[in-house]
Amino acid sequence: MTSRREFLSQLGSGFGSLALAAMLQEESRADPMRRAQILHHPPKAKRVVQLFMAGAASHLDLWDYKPFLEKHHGEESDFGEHVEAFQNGLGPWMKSPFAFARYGESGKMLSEVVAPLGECVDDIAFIHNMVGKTGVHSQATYLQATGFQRPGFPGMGAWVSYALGSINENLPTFVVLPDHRGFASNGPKNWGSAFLPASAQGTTIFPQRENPIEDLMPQAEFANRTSDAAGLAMLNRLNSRYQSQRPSLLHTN
Amino acid sequence: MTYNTVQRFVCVVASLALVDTPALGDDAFQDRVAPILERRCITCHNDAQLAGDVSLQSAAVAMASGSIEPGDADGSHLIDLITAKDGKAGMPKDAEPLSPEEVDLIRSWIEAGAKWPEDLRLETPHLSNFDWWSFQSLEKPEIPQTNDPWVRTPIDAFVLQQLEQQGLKHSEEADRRTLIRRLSFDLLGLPPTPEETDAFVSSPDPLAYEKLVDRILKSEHYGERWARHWLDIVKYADTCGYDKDKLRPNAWPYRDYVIRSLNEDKPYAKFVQEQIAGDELFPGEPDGILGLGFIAAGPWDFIGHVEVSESKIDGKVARNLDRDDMVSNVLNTFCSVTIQCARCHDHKFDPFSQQHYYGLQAIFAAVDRADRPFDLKPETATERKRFESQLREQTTNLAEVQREIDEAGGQALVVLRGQVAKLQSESQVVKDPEFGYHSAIAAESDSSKWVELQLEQPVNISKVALHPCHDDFAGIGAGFGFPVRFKIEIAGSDANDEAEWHTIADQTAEDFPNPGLRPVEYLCSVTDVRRVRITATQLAERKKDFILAMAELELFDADSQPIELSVCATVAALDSTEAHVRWRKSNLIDGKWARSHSAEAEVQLADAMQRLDDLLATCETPERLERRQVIERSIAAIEAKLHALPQPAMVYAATTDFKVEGNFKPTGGAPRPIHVLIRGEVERPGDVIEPGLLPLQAEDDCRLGGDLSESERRAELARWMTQREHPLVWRSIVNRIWQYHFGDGIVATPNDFGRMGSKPTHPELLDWLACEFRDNGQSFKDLHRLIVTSSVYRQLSHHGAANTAIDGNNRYLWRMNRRRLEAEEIRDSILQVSGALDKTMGGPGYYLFELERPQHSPHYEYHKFDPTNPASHRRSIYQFLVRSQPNPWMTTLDCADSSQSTPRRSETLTSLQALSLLNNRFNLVMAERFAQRLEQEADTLEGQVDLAVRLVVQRASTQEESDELLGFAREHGLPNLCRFLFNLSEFVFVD
Repeated sequence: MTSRREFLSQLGSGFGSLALAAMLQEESRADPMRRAQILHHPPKAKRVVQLFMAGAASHLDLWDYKPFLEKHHGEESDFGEHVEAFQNGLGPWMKSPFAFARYGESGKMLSEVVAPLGECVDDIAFIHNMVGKTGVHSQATYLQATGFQRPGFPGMGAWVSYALGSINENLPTFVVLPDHRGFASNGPKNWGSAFLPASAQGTTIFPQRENPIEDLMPQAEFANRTSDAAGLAMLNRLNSRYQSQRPSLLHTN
Repeated sequence: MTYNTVQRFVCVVASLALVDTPALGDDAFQDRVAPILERRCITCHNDAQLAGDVSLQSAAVAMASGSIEPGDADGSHLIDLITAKDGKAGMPKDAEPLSPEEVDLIRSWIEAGAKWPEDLRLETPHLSNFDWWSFQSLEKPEIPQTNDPWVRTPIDAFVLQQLEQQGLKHSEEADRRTLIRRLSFDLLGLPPTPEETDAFVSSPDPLAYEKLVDRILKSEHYGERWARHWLDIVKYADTCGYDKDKLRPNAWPYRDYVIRSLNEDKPYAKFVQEQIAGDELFPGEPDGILGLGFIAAGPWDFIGHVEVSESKIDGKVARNLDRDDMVSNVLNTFCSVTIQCARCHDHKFDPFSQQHYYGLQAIFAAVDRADRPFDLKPETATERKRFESQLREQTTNLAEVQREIDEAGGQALVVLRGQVAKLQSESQVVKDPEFGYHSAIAAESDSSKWVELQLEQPVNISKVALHPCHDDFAGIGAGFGFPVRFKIEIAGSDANDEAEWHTIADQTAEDFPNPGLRPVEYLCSVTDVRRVRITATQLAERKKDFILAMAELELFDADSQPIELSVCATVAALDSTEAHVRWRKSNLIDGKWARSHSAEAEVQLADAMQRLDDLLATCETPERLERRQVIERSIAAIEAKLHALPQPAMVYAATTDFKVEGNFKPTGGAPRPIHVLIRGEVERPGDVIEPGLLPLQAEDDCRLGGDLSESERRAELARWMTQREHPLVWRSIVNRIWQYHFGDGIVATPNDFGRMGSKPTHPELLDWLACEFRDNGQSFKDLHRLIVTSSVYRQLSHHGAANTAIDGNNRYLWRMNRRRLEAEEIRDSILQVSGALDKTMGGPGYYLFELERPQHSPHYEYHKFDPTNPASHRRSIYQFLVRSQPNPWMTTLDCADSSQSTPRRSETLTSLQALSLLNNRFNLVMAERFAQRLEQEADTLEGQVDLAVRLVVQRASTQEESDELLGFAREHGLPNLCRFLFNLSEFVFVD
């Protein structure tokens, strides 16, 4: 398989070669020595996978055990402060309908519906003190995706790819696999690069589509492997000539 | 007492040398301690923010916090907090600790009794500090004197002066082919045609360049190119954004307004005023309404407004953020002030407080974003206004007649009306779900219907009672379906012998008034009854049709006891509407009927209504009735005229009047009360704030009266914004225009002229341009002409080692900046060279996606769109912009994100861009289209290749290039060649 570096070299000195230069910059950014200079804390994690499931099961029924609810089940609820639900009316306290038990050495309480997770529960970090500021779906989805309750900010993946660069030159840094049934609230804005450069935006893959990655391959009868190879070689020659007359081209960008 | 912080600051610096002297004078606090608190503490610990419930703004609140024990520094919690251990202190939070000298000073002050003058209120120092370049008054600088022949315009003189100071040398003038390409993309966003290029390059006219500039500035494509810049700043899109991201089908008239305003070269002050308060300042002018699309251009949360009530927290948050978007859009765009930073606390860097911020929110407290009708012609608007005024007048006249009638009725009328209203409100209806019997519906009122009881055994009866129905259908209520004329008959046997029937009640000669819910009873004394029939000869009206309905038919035996008919009788009828459980025949004898809560009240009500009618008959004299009729006819006539006016057009804009949708309701112009929100939280409202502007110098009192109407508030803001002396507005706009010509602004942060922004590289040039622009018609086109005819603009974009060593970023403009074309320019250029571009201007945006399920949550399916669709072959400014999902191809090429203000596009180079330009279906389709065009316009392959190069890069190909391209085209076909030509660096870059 052609590496991204080779592929871009074949693109010649045009757009492709400029992209290559950008990528080389990325590489230097991803270089551990250099990275250590830039960042206070050199990153240890090599990859981040974020699964966002809009409308998924409640944490209360999975792994956020609430003994208080067991104790006060059926009693009138009182949050100690003014609480508003999206729809009106707060019912009585209700415990989870599922049974909880301890798992792993840590003794982490898990509900029966996620019991198989018990086998690896000691390898999982649970964060139970996350709070939202809104009951409105789109605002709350923005909040978890970008850290801000309103549009206009880059998604977490865009930040990670912008700040840390890539350690794999053959594949895009930031990949998104949207739910095939439709986007969550805010659509692609949850992984947009907003004011960060477009290079930080997610590459979206739609496995269910005939053409899972837009623009990766030409979908035209007149274009084939041979013509592409010859075309890229030609472009390379024409664009290097253009660039050699303009040594500052890379610097202007 | 006002506290002069600048002086105070000087004092504290001086005091540091004196810390050894523990004896503190009476002014010690004011001179030495207060400045420390102001600089280090009260940004958070003020009366508004109350971080940790502590404020250090005045003596009273500071002492109440309990952290200061006068006379006892060791016992004061404040000292614990600020004393550093291992270089860290609890306070100031996340910042360098106070110096030991500063801590000692505070300590000594507490030891000495913590004296703090009662009337001394501390303020954050920056709030009164206008000592910053952008607040300085705008005065026109002298143009530097020079004899250098390079200097063509004042711009050149200013730039040359800086170049010389920096030891830089300007570059030579670019060749004509480069210049026409630069100008054409810069001003029109399209490449010049080969013919235009040839004509210019070969023109012997020494003024050919100036004439070219004039010609280009007259082109209507100019507005299309520069409107795009404006729409980037103001966050324009054709959908709302957020969840659902619903369509705004009427947003485009604002986009067309911007294009037209630029093409007409509207003076900037008018352009600004129309967009903030056009309705108030230019009544009747369509542009006065169209401009208000500006306030509505940004994102809007459908769910937060429509599905959540304004009284709930989430509803308040949505509306607060909505006003925040309006305020920041206005201040970022026109003043380059980042006012949104003052939503949760005073601005940390610029002299704007939370009070100032919410004062601006109060200006927009009555407007929302919605479709707003307006008249396309001022004459129509005038007529509409006239008719509406007449209508108001006649409505007043009508009220006057009514008032006369009421007056004639006097106190008696008032009392009777009161009685009726009271009785009506008290008359609660108790009813079961089983309403009763309901005939089939008849078209005519005189259709005859009957319903009857058939008894198993003969009975003796002393009374028949009919119970009317109650149904809210068509607002009828009590007496629903009760016959207007009817009779009751009985028969002794079940034989169908007419002679058997005896009429016991006949109500067929006269209308029976609606009995309400009172039972209609007939006494009788008959024996051996087997059947009881009610026949309606005139039916009750329902809703333009007629029925017979009855809740219950009761029979009473000889002892006046009701007979339990449900066990000994059945119901028959001519016809019946069987709608279980409300309506069915058996309901007539189920013992259930609608009752008034109080039978007595029913009687009283009927009586009161009768008396009211009688009294009204004496007040409504024929003269008054006649007058009333005349007015009513006149009202109908005016309404007809209004109806006959041309239908108003619609624009999505700021408005106070629109159709209610769920919880989204218009204010009708009444401003919502605006509170200062402590830490920006809607649950912590502070004082109600009156509308206000921003201070531009320390003494400015910028409050507006709270009694100004909502549109007057906006008008005040617009007038303030366009005043001649405004230090920000004129600098802001000329800086933007400069930036779009050169790539970088004189101030590199076009939306931020505050302390977090950049300083101008050429401050005198900026001020000169601002004054020149302001004082000479505020014409964009004049400013463009001035800039593009300068020698600075005409320079080569080449590399120069000596200059690069001094100023590698070209801040001082020793050469022109080379740039990559913007997403829209690339798309429009591909369309143009392919011969596919449809230059039709204006109108609703075309889709680049398939739209699915638009009613609920629209789906924008870009991958399903067919790029051969000619509707989409118009300039990119006319595409329908989906806020949450912009066209991926455009996004890859750095198009603006309409969720935020984009005062400057980023220019990236990524592998995705290369892939898009090679493989995107649009590029492939256009490559074929381009090839077809070439084949039509040139006979030979040589000619076709030659033309292709001229179209794409506006020059002839070299022999070497020609050989290369021809070879490729012969082997792989012309469409393939065209596809690769779109990827030439020379195509996507402008020198």
